[in-house]
Amino acid sequence: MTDIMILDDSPTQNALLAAVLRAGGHRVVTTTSLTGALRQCRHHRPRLVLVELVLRQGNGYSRAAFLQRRTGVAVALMVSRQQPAESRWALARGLCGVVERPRPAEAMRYSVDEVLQRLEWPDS
Amino acid sequence: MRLDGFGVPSTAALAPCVREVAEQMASCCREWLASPSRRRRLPLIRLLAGAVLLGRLTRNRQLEQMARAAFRRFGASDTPMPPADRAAPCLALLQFWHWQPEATRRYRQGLEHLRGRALGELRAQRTDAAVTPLTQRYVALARLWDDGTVGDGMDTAGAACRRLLAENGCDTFRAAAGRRLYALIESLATAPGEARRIILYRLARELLQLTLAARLCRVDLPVALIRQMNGLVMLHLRTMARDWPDHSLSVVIRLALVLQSWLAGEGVPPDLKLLLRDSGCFYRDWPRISASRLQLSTRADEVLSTGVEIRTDVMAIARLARQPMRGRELAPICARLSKLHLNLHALGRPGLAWWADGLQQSLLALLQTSRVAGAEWRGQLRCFRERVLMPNATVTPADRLDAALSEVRVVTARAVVSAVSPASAREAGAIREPVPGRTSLIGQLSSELRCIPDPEPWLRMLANPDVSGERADRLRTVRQELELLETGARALGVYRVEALARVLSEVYRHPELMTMEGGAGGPDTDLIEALRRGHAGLLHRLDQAAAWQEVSRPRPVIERLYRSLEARRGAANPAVLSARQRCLALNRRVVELLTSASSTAALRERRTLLATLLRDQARLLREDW
Repeated sequence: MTDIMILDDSPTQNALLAAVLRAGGHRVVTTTSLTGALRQCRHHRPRLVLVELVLRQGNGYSRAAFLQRRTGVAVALMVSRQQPAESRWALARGLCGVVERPRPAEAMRYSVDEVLQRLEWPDS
Repeated sequence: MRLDGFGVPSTAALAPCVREVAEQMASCCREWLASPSRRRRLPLIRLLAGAVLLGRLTRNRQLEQMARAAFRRFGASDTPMPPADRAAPCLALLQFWHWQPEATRRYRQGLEHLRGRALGELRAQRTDAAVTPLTQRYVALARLWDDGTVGDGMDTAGAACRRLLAENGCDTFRAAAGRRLYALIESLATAPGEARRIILYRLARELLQLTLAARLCRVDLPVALIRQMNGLVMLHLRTMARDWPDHSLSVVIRLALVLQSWLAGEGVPPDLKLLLRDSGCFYRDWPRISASRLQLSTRADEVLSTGVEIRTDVMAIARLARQPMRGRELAPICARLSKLHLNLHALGRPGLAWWADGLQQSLLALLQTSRVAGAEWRGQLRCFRERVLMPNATVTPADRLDAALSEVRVVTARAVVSAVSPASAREAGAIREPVPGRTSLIGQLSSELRCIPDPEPWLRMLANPDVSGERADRLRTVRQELELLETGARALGVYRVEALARVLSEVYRHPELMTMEGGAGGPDTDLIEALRRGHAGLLHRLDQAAAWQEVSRPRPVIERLYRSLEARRGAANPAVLSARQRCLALNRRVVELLTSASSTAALRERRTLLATLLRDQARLLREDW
């Protein structure tokens, strides 16, 4: 069981994604703001933070990079449909990966697990 | 709250199931009354939601009405509930249906029996191949019953028609749809009272399938006819049975017959246009129905306030349609139109509703360039509806609407950014793409840039005088990356990034400026600070470009960088500083003139002259530095 935090300013998306990940056996906390994310990171120290790319204010890359730099927690970006350029730019920004949010929940869980596995075994 | 008197279900086999729910509910309610905490209320809400569904499926109107009344009364309780808890009943409805962990064996048997019975019904209709999970259909129908929102069943219907088309081909699909339609019309003409309502639900679903098939699967269908019929059926569904004029049903039946003959391959009747025009007139002349009669009073203010927003949106579209727009700018408007189109019909505003619908259709043509993403978009919209339509006593309808629109704006933006493929968007004029191979160019840029995405180590090294050798190597790399970025940004048409990259590149062309005056060899901290801000600004704008957002204007950052350079030069000679500032002001003015000048032949020469002047001036400035 891994602690995962979701940063997305849409409460509906937060709830849906949290349900998917909880069903996969993870402990999930959600937040809708960067301030909340910083606070949660201090309290919970999650293993992975998932940040949505498209936000109402600001954008996911900047927030994710800031969060990773400030807290030292591994941060991955969530996108609706993954494109190579997005992944490359996310990696260039030092993020630990990009998680696609596809329709089947299984695929979503799989890609999160993949990122977590990469964190555990960087060489794999 | 009365819990007794639930009545005997119509099917004897389901009696234990209903009794089980009633017993559990009574027990929960006793606990709740003894200690009215939120923790005790949630199980009760779950059970009430389940009882509504169960009552509906067993055709036990007494159970359904009582459970619904209790559910509403309970929802309107004085105790405020946070929105997250409000969302629980709907999620619980599905949980109740699928995975109720506390369910007893008998209860599970009851559910299995229900599924079996529904499956039998579907087989009898010969539509089992068209429908995926049975429960989905029933949940979709239940929602349809609740508020007449056909859109909620879109996913199920869309999946069904795609599957049917894939399995049977277009002709079989049309023939099967024609047969089903005919059966429905036949029963609609003869069925009395409330039974008509159920048939109309089926008809609405059938029409929905056809619309989706026409839109998503490119099946040749008379879309105008289907949509007109769908509008009429929706209108019927939204009104009470006693408000249905008989002649309006006859219009539905006539239209359905025309559609059926089309589906059966008998061609279009010659008077189709006339018929459509007549029924359109009839549709528009439908008597104004008050919101209270439609039981929509809670949503009426919501609809009316957003009617104004529709008009604003429509005007905005009219202004922007001739200019290149990004797909995501269309999406929020489309989602809003979709929602309001459904509600405006019910409020007796057919003109506005048709207006909204027409615009929505044209926008959907752009949004649905990708089937997968289109389905995703609808799925997101469904989630949004579940959340929005939830009764919530703690916020006003206007607040809820604002929150909802804000939410849908983000949700659809995400979907559309991923939905609109560059090629199709370019065809639709939605995304401006100045060069081919945009995607590969972005990918190349992302992988080639090493120092720019993380400039802190480099800037720290710049501030450290002990590593001069390594610094020179790194400086060369940074310059190369900036030049690459400048070229790439120009090719991609991201001119704001290009401008900032060019200025940074210019600063790095003068590495001697990095050291303190008088040959001290130490770093100029002010300039490094300006560079740090410049890099942060560049990174911020790159993030914006990568996230498909509008790139901020770089002017403040550029001016700060120039000021740092000029201050350094000006410290040695104030006259040079003032002359340079004058030159820069002149440059800006000339650029403005060039931009505003029209492209007539008389101005061409002046343009050339001014451009030459600018180039020479820039060269002189660089040489002076």
